This record gives sequence, structure tokens and C-alpha cells, in this order.
Amino acid sequence: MGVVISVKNFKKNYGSFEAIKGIDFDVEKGMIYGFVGKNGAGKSTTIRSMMNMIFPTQGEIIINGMDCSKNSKKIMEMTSYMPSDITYYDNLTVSEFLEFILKFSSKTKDDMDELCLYFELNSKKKISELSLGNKKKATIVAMLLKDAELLVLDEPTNGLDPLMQKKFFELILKEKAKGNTIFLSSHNLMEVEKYCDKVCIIKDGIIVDILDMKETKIRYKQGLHYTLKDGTEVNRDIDEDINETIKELAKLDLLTLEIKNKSVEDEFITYYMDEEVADNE
Amino acid sequence: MSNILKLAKFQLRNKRNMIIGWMIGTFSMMFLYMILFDSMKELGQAKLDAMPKEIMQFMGVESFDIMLNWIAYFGMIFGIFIMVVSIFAATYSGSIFYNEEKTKSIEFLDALPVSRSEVYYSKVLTSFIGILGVCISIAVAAMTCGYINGGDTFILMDFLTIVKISSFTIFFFMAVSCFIGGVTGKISAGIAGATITVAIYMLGYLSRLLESKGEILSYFSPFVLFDSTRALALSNQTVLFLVIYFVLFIALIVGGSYFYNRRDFHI
Repeated sequence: MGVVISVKNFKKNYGSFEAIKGIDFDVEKGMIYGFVGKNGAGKSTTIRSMMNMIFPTQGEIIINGMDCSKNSKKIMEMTSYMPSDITYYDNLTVSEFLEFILKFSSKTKDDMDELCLYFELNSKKKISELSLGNKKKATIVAMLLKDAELLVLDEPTNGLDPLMQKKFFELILKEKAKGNTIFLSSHNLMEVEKYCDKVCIIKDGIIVDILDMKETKIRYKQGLHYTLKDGTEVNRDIDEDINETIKELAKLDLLTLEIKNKSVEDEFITYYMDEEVADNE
Repeated sequence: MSNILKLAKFQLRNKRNMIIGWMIGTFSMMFLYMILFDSMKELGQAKLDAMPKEIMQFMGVESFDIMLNWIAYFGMIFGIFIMVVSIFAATYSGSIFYNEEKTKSIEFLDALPVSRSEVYYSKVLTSFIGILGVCISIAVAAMTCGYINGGDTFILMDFLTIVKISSFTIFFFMAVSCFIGGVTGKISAGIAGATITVAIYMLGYLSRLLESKGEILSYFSPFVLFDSTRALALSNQTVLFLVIYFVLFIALIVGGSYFYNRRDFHI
């Protein structure tokens, strides 16, 4: 598979503050690539640099072989971006807003109406009259109306009800099936675990891990939680031969034993915690 | 060019209420001022005679005979409108740049298959069309009154000369705000542009107060350089300043684009 996004030694400073301290990662064509990290970790800075809204202090971001800072117009012809904040043009109606997008796309008004119907969005309403969830839907429809091989999504389901979240990901999976690439930044770890092929975890401007979700799901399939008779509680992963683990457990003076399916979400959470908290736990 | 027009049309649609509001407001005000020309002749002359000279200079009035001549009366009123609409132009143009970054809607525009230059020039075009609309509504209001009550002193060619030359001041301050909006998104280009506009107006006022001693100050104030009296006289000096300010106008617009292409959006 070809590389669609290639981030090379990317650094971004705001004055003396280093927001991104030199990161490298590649996103391959046709995958859903998760981008995870707590607030202020550098996710939006990286995405905004991809979209040529801010310029790298050092390094480069290449999309489809083109430098983001130099070829943004060409890149945008094949990219659809959905920002996390929804602050569009309040004086316009939804249809005025979406019809403007159509001027830059090969999609038709029928496609627009179909998407509005799918997301139960009233296109005759003014944007200022929409609820947060409906504004989000308008943003999603706008994103899907563009001719894109790459979808860059920043917190796409924030504010959507569970049914709409499900419908949204059904469409995203269709985009993936077409061979399109999806770059997904999200705080919703369940959706990241469920839909992403690879996940890049960023913390304080550096990449702390890149997980292949197939491998990770197998590796973290089960975990153990037990309490010894002296009151000590232990959590551990079953990451070796399970028979050996049972032999080890037989030697312990156990009060309780619980075998649980471990979620990858639990793994992500450790990256969200401050180092000290994580160490204490 | 096609993308610039598409973007400008979209932004104008979004700003239509504000532009229409200003067009109606300025039309009504100018119409009210100019329709009262006949009744103001006697009353206004008496009032002006009683006014301190400094106040007259602040309004850009040099002679007390203006109430007898429609074109001269229009020149005085238009001078006040030029100042007000210049502040509007600076604020409106600046807000087109600044608000887009403040509300982060620039994330939407920038993600379209358009270049930053196209976004920048679409904003300049949006500003230009909006301000042109306001200027035309003022001119139409005045011209209508000119035909109604101007009599022999309403000379269309003189009227159009004043409108064309003096209105340039408004577009100059539009360019100032476009430049500020191009250079930075951190400060409100509208407020900065309006502050500069008022400061330059005050500089012109000072040059009038100081008379011949303040001549040099007037070179920095298009309010003075292109006022109705100088517009009508159209001396070589006025033409020279028109050329200089036009070059400066282009430099501000192009300079703003240069910075806009190279800076981070403040989002």
C-alpha cells in the first residue's frame, strides 16, 4: 500500500513554546488511522499544519507526494477536512452553505439532499438556528460532498447522538471500502478501537506509541484481576502462555480471581494520564 | 479568478444584511441632509456664521458661502460622510479578515480547493463590493436630491467629479484594513484600521487648523488632499497625490497578500 500522509521530523513552536517536538509517522492508503492524545498534546496543531493553516517550524508534511505548505490547493482538491469546532456562517441556511460546497465538487444537489435525508438534517433552516448536533451533521454532509481520497476528521462525532454516530461510521466504512484514506483524531476511544487500523498516540508534542490494532486487540485480549488474602490487589495481562499463568496462580494465596476481556481503551487511558499518576497506579 | 468570484459571492451573501443595512442607512441620511438644502439656505447660513472657525475647519468647510450653492453644500456634507464611511470601510474590511480567524470559520474556507491568495483577494473583493454599494447608495441619494432641489447650482459633472475623487479616501482605508488583516490575525484589523482612519482624519484637521504651517501634515491625510474643493479644482498637485495614494493603495493590497500567504492563521 502506498503512503498517503508522511510526517517527517515535524516541529512546531509558538514563540518559545514547543507544541510539537519532532514527530514522524506515515499513513498508508486505504486505512483508518487514529490520532489520539489528551487536550494540548498537539493533535490539532498537526492537523492544521496538514491543512496549511499553520506552517511547520521544522520538517515537512507530505500528502500524496506533495508538500502541504507548497501545494495546498492541489492537496485540497483530493482532501476533505472536518474541523472539530463548528463556527460556520450563521446568516446562511444549511442549503446555501452546502450548495456553495457543491461549486467545488462533482457531487450534485441530489447527493446533497440524499445526505441531508440520511442524517435527518433540515436544509431549509438557518445555521444559527441549528443545535450543536445538527451543526455537526451539516459539517459532516459538507465534508462528504467534496471529492476526496483523504478524509481528515477532527473529533467528528463529538455532539452526535449514538444513532448518528453509528450512521456516520457506516458511511466512513463505505469510504474506506472505496479505497479512501481516513485520518481520525478523536477522544472517543471506543470508536478509535472499533474502527481504526492503526493508532498513533501523541503526548506533549511527541509520539509515544503507534499501535497496529489487529496485533493490539490480540495482545490485550484478556487480563487478570486478583486479590490475595493479605488484601493486595493485582491487575495483570495474560500476555504469555495461559497454562503457565494458571500454574503461577496456583502457588498464590488467592481470595478472589477475575479473568476479564481487556479493552484497548484501557491501554489508551494510560497515555492520557499524567506520568506520575500512571506510575502510582 | 473563478474561485475568487465564487468565494466573494459566498462572503457577500453572508454579509448581505450588514451591507444592505448600511446602504439603507447612508441613503436615508444623505437624502435627509440634501433634501433640506432649500430650507437650510437661510437657517444654515445664520448657524454657520455663529459657529467657531475651528468647528468649521473640523467639518472641512473653508467658506461661509456654501449654503448658496448646491455643489458646495453637497461637498461639505459629503466630507462628513467620507469620514463616517471610511471608518465603516476600515471596520468592515478588517472584520472580514479578523472574524474569520476569531470564529475559526477560516478552517472551512482554507480547506476548500483554493489557494490562500484566492481567499485573500476574495476578501478584498468582498470588501470592495460592499463599500462600493454604500458609496453608490450615498451618491444616488444626493443626485436624486440634486435633481429635485439643486436648481442651477447642481452641476452633474462637478457632482460626479467630487464623488469619484473624494470617495477614493474610503477605499484607501479599506486597503489599510486589508493590509492589517493580511499581516496578522492576532489583533482586530477592523479596530486597528478604524483607529488609523480617525488618527489620519485628526491629522488633516490639525493641518487645517495650522493653515499654511500645517501644509505638510495635509500630505498624510487623504481627507484633506481629496476633499471636495480640491477634487473640483483638480490641480496638478491633486493629480500627483492621487497617483501616489493609488500606488500606496495597490502596495497595501499586494503587501497584505504577501503576508497572508506566509503567516499562520490565528486559530
